[in-house]
Parts: sequence; C-alpha cells; structure tokens
Amino acid sequence: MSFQPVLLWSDVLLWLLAIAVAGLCAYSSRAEHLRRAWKRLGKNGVATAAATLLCAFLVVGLLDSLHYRLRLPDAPGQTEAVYSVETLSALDGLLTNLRERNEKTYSAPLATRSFVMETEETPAGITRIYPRLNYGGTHLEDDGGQAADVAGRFLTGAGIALLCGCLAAGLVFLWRKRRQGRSDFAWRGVLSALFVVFLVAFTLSELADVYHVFGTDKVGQDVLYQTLKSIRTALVIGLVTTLVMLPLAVVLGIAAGYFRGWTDDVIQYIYTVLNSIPGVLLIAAAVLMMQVIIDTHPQWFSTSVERADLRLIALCVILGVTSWTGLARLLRGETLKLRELDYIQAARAFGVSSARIIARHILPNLMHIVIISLVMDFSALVLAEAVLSYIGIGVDPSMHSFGSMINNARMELSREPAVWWSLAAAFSFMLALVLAANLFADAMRDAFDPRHEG
Amino acid sequence: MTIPNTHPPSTPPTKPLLDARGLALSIHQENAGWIPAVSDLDLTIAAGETFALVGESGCGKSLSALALMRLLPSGVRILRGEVYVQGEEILRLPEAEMRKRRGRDLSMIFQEPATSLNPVLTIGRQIGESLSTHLGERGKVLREHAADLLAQVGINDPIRRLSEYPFQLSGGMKQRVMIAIALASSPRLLIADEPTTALDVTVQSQILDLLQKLQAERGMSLLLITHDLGVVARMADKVGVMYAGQLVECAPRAEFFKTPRHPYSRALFAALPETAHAGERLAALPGQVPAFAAMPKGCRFAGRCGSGDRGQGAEDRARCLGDAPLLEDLGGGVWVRCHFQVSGDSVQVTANNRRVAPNDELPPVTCPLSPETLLEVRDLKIHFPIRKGVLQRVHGHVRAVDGVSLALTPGRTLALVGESGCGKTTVGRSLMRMLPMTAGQVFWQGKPVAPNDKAEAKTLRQSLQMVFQDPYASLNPRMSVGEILLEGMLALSAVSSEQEGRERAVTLLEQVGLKPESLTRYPHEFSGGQRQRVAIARALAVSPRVIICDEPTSALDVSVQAQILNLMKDLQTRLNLAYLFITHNFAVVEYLAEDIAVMYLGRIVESGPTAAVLATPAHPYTQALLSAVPRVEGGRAIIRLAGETPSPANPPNGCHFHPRCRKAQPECRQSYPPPTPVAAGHRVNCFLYREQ
Repeated sequence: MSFQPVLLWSDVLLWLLAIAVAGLCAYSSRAEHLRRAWKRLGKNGVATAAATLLCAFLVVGLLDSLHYRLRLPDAPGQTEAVYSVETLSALDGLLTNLRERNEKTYSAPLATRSFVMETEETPAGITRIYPRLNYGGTHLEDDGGQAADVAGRFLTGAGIALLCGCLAAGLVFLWRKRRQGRSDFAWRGVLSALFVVFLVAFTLSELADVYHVFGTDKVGQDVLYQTLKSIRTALVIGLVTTLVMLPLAVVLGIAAGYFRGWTDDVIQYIYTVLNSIPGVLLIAAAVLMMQVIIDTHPQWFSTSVERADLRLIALCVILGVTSWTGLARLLRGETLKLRELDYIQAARAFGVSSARIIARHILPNLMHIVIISLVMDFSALVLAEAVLSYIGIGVDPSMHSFGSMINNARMELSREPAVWWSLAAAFSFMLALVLAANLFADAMRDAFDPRHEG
Repeated sequence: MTIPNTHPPSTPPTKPLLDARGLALSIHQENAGWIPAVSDLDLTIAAGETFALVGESGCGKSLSALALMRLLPSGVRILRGEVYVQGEEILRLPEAEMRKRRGRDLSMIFQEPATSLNPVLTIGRQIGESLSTHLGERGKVLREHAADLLAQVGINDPIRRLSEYPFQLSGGMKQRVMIAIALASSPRLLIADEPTTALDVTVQSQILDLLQKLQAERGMSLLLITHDLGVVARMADKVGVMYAGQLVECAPRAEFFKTPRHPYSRALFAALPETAHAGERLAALPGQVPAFAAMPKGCRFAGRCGSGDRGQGAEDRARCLGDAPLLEDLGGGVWVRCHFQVSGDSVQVTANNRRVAPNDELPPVTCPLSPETLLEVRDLKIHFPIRKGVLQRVHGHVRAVDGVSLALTPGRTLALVGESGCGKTTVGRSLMRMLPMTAGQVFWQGKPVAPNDKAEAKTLRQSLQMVFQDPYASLNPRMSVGEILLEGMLALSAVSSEQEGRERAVTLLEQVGLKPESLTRYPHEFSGGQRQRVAIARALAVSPRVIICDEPTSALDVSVQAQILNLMKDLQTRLNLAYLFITHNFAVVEYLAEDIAVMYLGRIVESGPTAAVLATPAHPYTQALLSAVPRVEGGRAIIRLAGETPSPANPPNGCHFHPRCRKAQPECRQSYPPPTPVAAGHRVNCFLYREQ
C-alpha cells in the first residue's frame, strides 16, 4: 500500500457528527411534528440557499478530514515500509499544486511579480527590482498579457459554472416534473446558491492553476490554500464543541427544571459561578495547562499534526465546558413551564416514572430550542475561535485557522504598502460561513417555533 | 360575495352613535392566502344602549370589535364596509385622526385583566396616560382626576392605589382599573370584550353592576361581547348573534329571549345545561363551527342545522345548502338570516331539539348500583409552607385546604363548587397523589389508605383518574393519540402487551365517540371538544372507578360543552363511575351532579343533594354565590358580597366567611361552626342553623 490512513480524533468526531446529523434528519422525517417544521424550512428560499452553502463548506471540511501518510521510497536494505512524517488530507491531495508552489515571500493576488523588491546583479550593475515569481504567472512571457489572461481564465471558469448550473437546474426540473409539483421545496434557493458555489469554485480552480489567486503570505504560502484549510478548523470548533456542550446543557438544564429543590440549587450554583468567571481567562488558563501537558509528553504524538489535533480537541472541550450555561438556563426555564402543564400532570397521575416523563414528554417539546440554539451557537463558536487565536490561546500555530490568519494580518496591515489579502480572504470566507449559518439559524427558529404550528 | 341591499337592523329616529354597514374582514392564513372571515356585518348602536354580541369562539366577535377600533392585528384586514361614529366615517380617517378618536369616542376593555395592564407602571401612571393624551391634564389636576375615576369604579382608598402596581391588585380590581382607564377620556361607546369571563361569579356580578351604573350615569353606549347568555339576559338592550363570521340574528332582548328565531340561537339555548332538567340529555349541536378557509357556499349553519320547524324537504335542504340567506327584517327590530325562520308564533324552543335518542348503540353494562362508599376523605388538610430568609425557615403556611371531608359513591357525581383560589383544584390533585397531604384520612371502599404511601398510591391510581380543564394543555402535542392512550395503560400495567393496548385504545375511542383512525393522529388535528374526548378516553384507559374532573368543560363552547356533558353522563351510567366534578359553573352542577359541596377558603361550608342545596341554599355564602350567577331567565335579587376573598395564607379567625357575611354574629369571630344538618343529607357550617 502506498499510503497509511491516519485517524485523528477530530476526524472521527467530525465524521461521526456528519453521520449523526444525517441520522437525525432520517429520524425527524418520521417524527410528525419535526417533519412539518422541516417542510416549513424547505419552503424558505433563504434557508435552502444557506443550507446549500453550508453543505459546500462541509464537503471541503470533510475532505480535509480524511488523513493519510504517504509511503516513502524504500531505502536499500529496508524491510518494513516507512511512511512520511507529513500527514496529508484528501484535500491536500487535491490541492497539491497550491500546497507545494511556495514563493519566497509576499505576493499580491494574481501577481506575476513579488511584492518585495530584491537586489539583483545584472551586467548593467546592481538594481532593485520586483522579481518574477517562482510559480505565479510563469506561463506568461511578460507581464503585459496578465490582465487579458486573467479575464480569459475567469470567463472560462464562469462558462463551466454556467454549464453546470444549467445542468443542475435541468435535473431539478425533471425531478419536479416527475413528482408533479407535489412538494413546494424552495429549489430556487438551492440553485442560486449552487450557482454561486460553482462560479467561485470553477473560476478559482481555473485561476489557481497558474496564479496565487489570493496572493501569498510572509513565507510564500498560498493564501487560498490556507483559507481552505481553515474551513475544517472552523467546522471542528463549531461542531465538536456542541458535542461536548449538548449533553451537559440538556441533562443539567432539564434536571434543574424538572426536579427543582436541591438539584436545581446545585446546578444553578454551578452555572452561575461558571458564568461569573471571565470566559477568556478560564479558556486561557485551560489552554496553557494543556500546552504544558502536550509539551512535556512529546512521546504521545508521532507527528506534529497529531499534536495540533489534540490541542484543537482540547480547545473544543474547554469551549464546550464554558458555553453550556446559556442553553442549560434556557432549557431549565422551559422545563419549569412544561412540568406544570396538564399533560405532564396527567402522566404523573398514571405514575409514569420521571425518566420516562423527561424522555417522552419534556425532551420532544424542547427539541426545537435545542436545534435552534445549536445552529446559533455554531456561528458564535466559529467567531470565538477567531478571537482566541487572535489573542494567541487558540489553535496550534502550525494549524491553519481563520483566527491565526487574522492574527498574522495584524502585522501585515501596518506595513507600507499594506498586505491586505490574508485578512480579506479570511474575512470573506468566514463571513460567508457565519452568515450562512446565521441565516439558516434564523430560518430554523421561524420554522421550529411552536407558535407557527397550526 | 355580494353586499346585501339590506339596511342596518334598526333605524332609530336620532342618528345612531355607531353604525357599521357591510363590514367585511379577511384573515391571512399561511397556506390559503387571504380568506374572507367576517362578512356583511351590520351593526347599529344608539346612544346609551347596550348591544350584546353573542357567539361561540372563532365566530369573529372579537375581530369585529377590533375592526371598529381599527386595531386589527397584522394578519387581518378590512375588505370593505363603512363604520360611522356619530355620523362620521372612521375607516378612511388617517391614523393620526383615528388615534384621537380612540379613547374619546371609542374605548375598549379586554378579557384578561392580568395581561392588559403593564406590570412595571403604577396604576396612576396608566390611568394618567390616557388623561394627559386626551384631555391634556398635568400634575395635580391629573392625579385628582385619576383618583376620582378609581373611586367611580368602586376602588377604596384611591389615592393610595394610584401609586400601586398591578401585581398588588386582585383580578377583579385589575378589571376595575381597566374600566377606569377606558373611561378616563369619557368615551361615547365602550367596547367590552368578554369583560368578566376570567372572573369569578361574585366578582363578575360586581363588574356587571359597575358597568350598568357607569352607563346610566354617563349615558354611554356599551358593545358587550360575550358567549354567556346569562350575562346577555342581564345586561343587553339589543342582542346580535354571530355565527361563522356573520350576524345571523339581531333582536331586542325581550324578543330574543322569548322567541329566538334563528336555528342557531335556538340551539344555543337548547345546549344550556340550566334549561335542561337533570337526567335529560342536552341538545348538543353536532360538529363544529366551519373554518373560515372552508366556508360553505350556502347557509353557513346548514351543516349543523337540525331545524325541525320547516325546511325539512329535500328541496328546502338544497336551498339551504346552495343559497346563502340574507339578513331579513321581520319587523319589531328583529332581523334573521335564515330561509325558514320562525315567524311570530312562539315555538317551544327546546322541546324539538331535545328529541335526541340516548346513545343505545353500546349495551349498558349492568353493574349493581352499590350504595357503598367508594372513596372517602376525612378532614383533608393541605398546607404549603411559606419559606423566607437565607435559611429558608418556615414562616407560616398557606392553608389551601383546611379540613375537607368528602365521600364518592359509584354511579353518582359529587360537585365541588367554589370560586378560584378556594382550594377545590388542590383537593383533586391531592386525591390523585400529585400533592402531599398534610393531614387527613383516606378510605378506599371502607379500608383506610396510608396517605403518602407509594405502593398504595399505585393501586389507587388505577382506580382513580383525572380529566383536566384545558384540553389544549392536557395532551402532549408531540405524541399521537395512540401513544397518549397507551402511556397510562403501560405505566400502570393495565395491559400486558402493546398489541392488547392498541386494541383497547380502539375500543376506548369508540366509547368516547371518536373514529379508530384517530389513533395515529396528533392532538393539533382535533378541535377542543374532540381533544377533551381524547382526554376522557385516556382517563378511562386504566378502567378507573372514580374520575376527578377538574373543570372539564370550562374551556369549551356551550354547544361543545353539551356534547361532553352528555358523553360523561352516558359513561357514568354505563360504567357505573363515580365523578368528583370540580367546577365553578352552577348550571353544569345542576345538570350533572347528584350531590354538591360548596367550598370557601379551603373549607366546605355547605353540602347536600344538589336539588336541595340549589333550591334552598342555607349558608350565606352559597346564597350570595347562587344569586350572582347570571341566569337566562333573569330576575333574581343579587346578594352583593363586600370585598374580596381573603388570602388562604392568613385566613380570618373563626368562620372564614364572617368578614363578608351580612348575618355575622359575634361568635362567628370566635370559632368555626360545626356542620349542622338542615335537612336530610343537607349540612351547613353556620351558626345560624344551630340546633336550638
């Protein structure tokens, strides 16, 4: 075998979550009240567009979560296979071009020459020039044709995108015709979002073939590559954290609301205390402790990626432990209201056990709150990661993330002329991700709000 | 839809205060778009007149009232029509102009006083808001005017009350404050939307008195929206009956109560439990009000009309179904929307509709009517501790129930009657073991039951079930009817397998008059009455001997209430059930219960056979309570109670009722009177009837 699959903790969790979400969708198509809510959601064009965009991000993230190590060429006399210390992902494999074509230092988006002047010895003497890049725009004889070339490639990409968009629209049309318009699913949202995704994907891939579309950073790495790698980090932070937070919030929130008395007191004390400690302080302390542990046990990790991954997971756990309080409080309040309702009283009149009342009567009636707050927390967590990385207690420095990109941009912006593209790329991708998540959350809140149920 | 070329129901010589012509409203529904709701509403109210708009829920009464105020919610709009207030059309006025009219010409009070007042503003501020807007009053003048208004609505110590917040007032006082606010700018017309529905009968009687008094003093007109024909009989000059968004009948009060013309009006009367004799079945209207989205083309009432007077033939039937009737003038101020309305000859209203055969599809279960007592409670006490301070020390008790004794016999109904806060619901819940008893003994078939024992509680639970007040809150919206019915059976192991449970569930549904297909449906697909049937089926699922019914019909419309009462009565005779019927509605008690116990502030003040207690109430409280119930036949002197029910945390010494009792004697302050028999089985806790 020419490669060895590597299972990182975050890969496992991310894939499990993706499967869990799929399972949840399957379950909710059976549960009547949830199915109605999903149907309402499906009628909302903004929601379907946002969902399509989120799916595109998810595909990138999942591709980036299939890790492997390549086998090194056999050395003479070697009996066992030796694998590279570098752990790659499926996305890295697809983006080999971007990953390997490193320049010397900064270069502007779509540039053919370096951003920084260099001294060059020519027969005429020593001159200061902007040298041609090692990879960006090398196919051009001289820089003059760059604009025309970029326009041509953009149009080619746009053409392919249009073609794919039409194909998708045609498929949808055929599908609807077969169903004879029995569903009022908002396909226009899906199609328009899909078209935007195609447009971005195809033009980028056309251009990225020969240019650094978003420029390069200080060490000459392609910014587009960094941005794409950051998506996985954001998704892991946003999704895995909820995995930690959800059981805490649901169990403690419902227990506090349902059992009242000392259970309620204890749980309330815990979350009030937790809430009174500044979150950043708590996270910083925990991350630094984690860092010390990681540094003193280098033997635990065979590659640097594994080390960075553990730190990411630790960050998720810490974020989860500090952020369950909001949802728990919400669920406690709602449970307090529900437990007084007649149907709970009726169940108690039959002597139904507390565990069963919680599982059958309370949890299903809280599900809409859980779903809504999960989606809303997702965007908050992605932003939180950016902030934490910015102040240096976020992910491992070797791991790409929106936060670390923005952190680097701090210095770059103070240069003259400013290096703006790292920040711009991270900003626009993060904006797209968070905006899509927020719009989706908004639409979900409307769809799952029980007041809309007839 | 065409606008009928009819004129407003009556044309008094002077210009009417309010004149609505052809008012039509449409409401927006998510999957149906804009659909017509109220149509062709003609209303005329003269100055000083009280017009009562009657109808069941969902017939468009409140929407019409809001439309007159131009305060419709965003999902409703006025399609067409004209509304003249003192000769001026108001629907086309700019909003700024209309704002001046509101309060000055038209004012409104709402059903729920608890939510119509802003909890963070003082009473004074809320009254002052209206005064400063409409009359431009400021400072001392405003305060004095506000205090004067509070005094007018009968609030003692108005100066102090001005600086109080709504939570410091009782429900009746809040409604008085609402009235004071509505009156602040001396409106010409007061629209009262179910002003007393949320209040107890004695308080209701006070509020109705107040409205009548104020109306007489100010020459104000009153548009009273209600579903209670008793209130109409007491208050109205003219009555309008609405059904499914249309005015179906409009008549002067005397005429309306003498001869209701429209089949729907007659059905409403027939469905009233108080007009029926105990033991007789109520004439329940089949079905329910059609939804606005699925309005029939012809007469909107045709689907439920059992009118037997005329129009029985197939040809007539076709006319009702295909041709929408117009509101026609019958003379004498009577307008009716029916092709076959009863003319002058006074038909015996209820007799025709009462010919409903008893449900004999299912054979009655022959249970020997055992006179032995099934469940007996002696001296039941339930006290809730009041905890205060850091250490949560007990600082006193709320004596919610303070010595109640009851006995339930198979096949009989005991009604537990009282005003809100008297502890009647607490009694029911503690019998169900949902609340711990503080003291008291429980006997099941003569054998004592340990009051707070868990193992015995389970066996008792199987024999004891409960039906709740609000069928919308008592069924889990996330569970199908089948799951709801199965839950109890499985929890109490009444069935061995799920399959057996399902079969049993189908039988239960048939017993309560629902189709077996309902098993897989969800509660939201049912109407209020059908939901209550499901709730009854759930209680029956474990074959109980006793059912505690906590106001099972108070959330339902009159016609649906009749259906449910009939069903309960049928079930009782078939299954030989004992009912503990907790209610505040005397009409229902009269119809359903053999025995009655009247509660006041945690104690039973009077008990006995229903007929005896209702005919000759002995306790002064029972007398006052009964006199306050608005009756369709009217004409009973009302005994007015002073003040409000005291708090059970701090009940008065001696007899709890003595501070409000007209016949209080010195010894009433000293000790609580023992039960004294006044007739066979009729006992009263009052010193007036002491054996000499």
